[in-house]
Amino acid sequence: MFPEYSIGNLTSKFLMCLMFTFYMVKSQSIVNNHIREKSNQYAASQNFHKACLFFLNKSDDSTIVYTGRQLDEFKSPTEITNYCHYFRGVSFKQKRMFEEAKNEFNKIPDHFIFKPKILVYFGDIAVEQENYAKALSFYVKLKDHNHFEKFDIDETKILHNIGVCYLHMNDYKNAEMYLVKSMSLQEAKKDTLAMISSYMDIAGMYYEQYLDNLAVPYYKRAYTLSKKVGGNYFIKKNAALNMAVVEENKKNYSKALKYRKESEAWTDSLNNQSRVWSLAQLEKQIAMKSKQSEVNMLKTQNKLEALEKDRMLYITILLSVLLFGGIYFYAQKLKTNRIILIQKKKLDESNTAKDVLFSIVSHDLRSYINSLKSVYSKMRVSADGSDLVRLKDEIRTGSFIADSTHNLLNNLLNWALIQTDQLYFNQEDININHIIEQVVYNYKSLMVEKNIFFENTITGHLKVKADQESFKIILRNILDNAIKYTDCGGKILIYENGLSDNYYLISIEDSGKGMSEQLQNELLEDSKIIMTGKNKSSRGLGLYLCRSLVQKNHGIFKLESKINSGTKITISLLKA
Amino acid sequence: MNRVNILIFEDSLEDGKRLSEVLSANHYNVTGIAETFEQALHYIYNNPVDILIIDIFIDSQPEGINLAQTLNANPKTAKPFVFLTNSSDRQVFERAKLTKPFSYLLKPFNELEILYAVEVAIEKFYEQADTITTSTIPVVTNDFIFIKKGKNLKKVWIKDIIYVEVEERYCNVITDSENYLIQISLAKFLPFLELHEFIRTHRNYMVNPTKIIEITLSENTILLHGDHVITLSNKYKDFLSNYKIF
Repeated sequence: MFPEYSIGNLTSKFLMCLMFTFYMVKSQSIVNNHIREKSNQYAASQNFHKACLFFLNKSDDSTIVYTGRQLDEFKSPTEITNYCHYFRGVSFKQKRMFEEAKNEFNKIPDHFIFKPKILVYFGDIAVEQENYAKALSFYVKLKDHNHFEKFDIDETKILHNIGVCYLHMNDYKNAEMYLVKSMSLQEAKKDTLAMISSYMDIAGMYYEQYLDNLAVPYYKRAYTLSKKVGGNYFIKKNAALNMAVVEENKKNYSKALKYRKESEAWTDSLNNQSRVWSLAQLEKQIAMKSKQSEVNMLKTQNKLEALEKDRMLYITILLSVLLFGGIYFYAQKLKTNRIILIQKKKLDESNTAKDVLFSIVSHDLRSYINSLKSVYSKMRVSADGSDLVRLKDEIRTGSFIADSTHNLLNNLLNWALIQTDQLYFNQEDININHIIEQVVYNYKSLMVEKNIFFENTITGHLKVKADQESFKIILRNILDNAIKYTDCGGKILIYENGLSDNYYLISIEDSGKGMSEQLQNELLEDSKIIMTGKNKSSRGLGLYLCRSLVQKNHGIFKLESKINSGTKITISLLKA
Repeated sequence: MNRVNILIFEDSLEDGKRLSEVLSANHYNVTGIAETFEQALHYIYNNPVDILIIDIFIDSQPEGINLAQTLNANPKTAKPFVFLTNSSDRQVFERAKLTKPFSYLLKPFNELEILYAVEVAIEKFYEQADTITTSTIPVVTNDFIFIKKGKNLKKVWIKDIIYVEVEERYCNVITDSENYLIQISLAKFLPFLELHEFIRTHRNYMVNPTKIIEITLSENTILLHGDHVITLSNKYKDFLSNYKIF
């Protein structure tokens, strides 16, 4: 009896699952609709969408592949991952890979919408794994559940499975009650597949109790029905196997052999199915390994490339530094050359100017000394004749010539000092009025002699930031010129000519001959410090000195002049 | 008595003579014209010298700079001085500048330039700018004051003052020989007068006690040297308690 028992046991076990599959196909419309909705909701996730489609079409392998891809995707929403685990769980279970199925189901949190269904699956798996007490606990949890329709859970199946559990726990009374209850419900529904498994289980139950007469008709009915349905290898195989056992017990070996062969044919079909899966797993592993090695190779390649890139970068930087350095130094050299060229030009100019100056100055000096000589000879004559009046006159002329010579030499000296940058220069707060008075002091007698009216109206407290000596040189030259070119009875005025934010404006105005515009322009031209042309004289030197010294004091030099109405020179100096 | 004493350090006889003439003509007392370094020191230690005019080059050597350095080295001999030079050479001036000249004078110079340089040197040395060069504000020192009177600069010893009369922003300084109206507030002048124990006898009078001849209490008057009679107000009579009345 032992083998029968085991076969019966096996039979009932296998049937459970088949029955379940059958139900899913037939009556999962509500759940399926829900999944379709989700599929549309997450239409953007292509893998999930496809997984849904395959799941609904019961293509287990494809479902597993696409949910797998979806789960590999980075950062899928939790809901999608939950559905994926659910699909995989269901599909693994369909493929009888119970441990995988359990793993997938366990990954789903309690609040998941199909939780009752998962309980059913857990129960089913426990049954499949012969852990009946556990299965029973899952089913009992479900018994109180009122919403079977909502989750497309077939109550008959639950009842059936409870029955099977009791059967295996040898509680035949309860087993019979649940099995018969479920069978009658199935018959009412005309659920052929379910009926087959019910028949087989009831048969098994009776068989177990050695009630062969009750059992055999059920086996026969199961077998007959199994012949009519297509595709379900498990049912066909078990139905056939059960028949073989029945026939063997009847000692009808030829029939038993026939059934066995039929059963084995179905077993082969079944084995093929699982072999396909394990083959796929193996291929996947190999593919993974090759991918991994590819990745490793790519990594090393990347490292090498990065190294190469770094080296290229350094070389590029080095080359650019060299290039730009070269360009920079070349530009510097060009710049220096240009500066040298400009300096050379300037030097040439000033050298020419110096030569011209020398010739003019020596010419001027010679004429002064000549005049002095003639004055002295005249003086001798006058002295010999004791003509004191004439002598006095001549002495005055002589001292005037000496003054002019002195002035010229002074300017020459200062010009030389400026050119060689040797002039002592110390800008400090100076009282303009004092300086003007001191400079004018030397010209007082000259002005009195020429009957020139002089007035200085600068206030006593006016202070500017300037170098005292250079300011004196400026004033001396301007006054010298003013007196020289102002006729007897003219006037020279020094006054404050307004002030700006930072400057005091000091004007020195005379009523002299004035200058033509052309002359003014020539005098003010920067490069020409010496007047050339027919009126060769060193007149420009004084003006040049004035201008450069005013500039050196950070002041502004301005010349206004009109022929026959006088000259006005305005110097702006920084306020102290 | 009220002349400013000047020592000239100059080897050119002509320049020295000219300077001396100009300065003497302008009420300065030329203590001497030193021609060597030793001579200059001798003058400084044996004669009253208020200010020096120093030629930088003596016998083509920058002895003038040496003298300035020697003077500066000792606070007791530190005096205002004017550098005199006929060179506008920068290098010489840069060196001369290190001795912190109070003023300098370039040859050739005229009378005004000499006087201005001397006054500027005094102003700078006593750190009282814009006083004697531009106004009647005096340069005040512990023992004497420099007063510009007209074109001349005068040195008045505080101990020689008979009394000072305050007139608004001015003080009238009375001495034996001359009176000076100077622009200085009493508040500023007072500490210097008190150094010489001047006594206040009236809101407007500060009197030098050594110049008092007679005090007539019945008339509230004080007779001073030079027959000056000034008022003694009741408020300031206290000082009398310091004297024994015979």
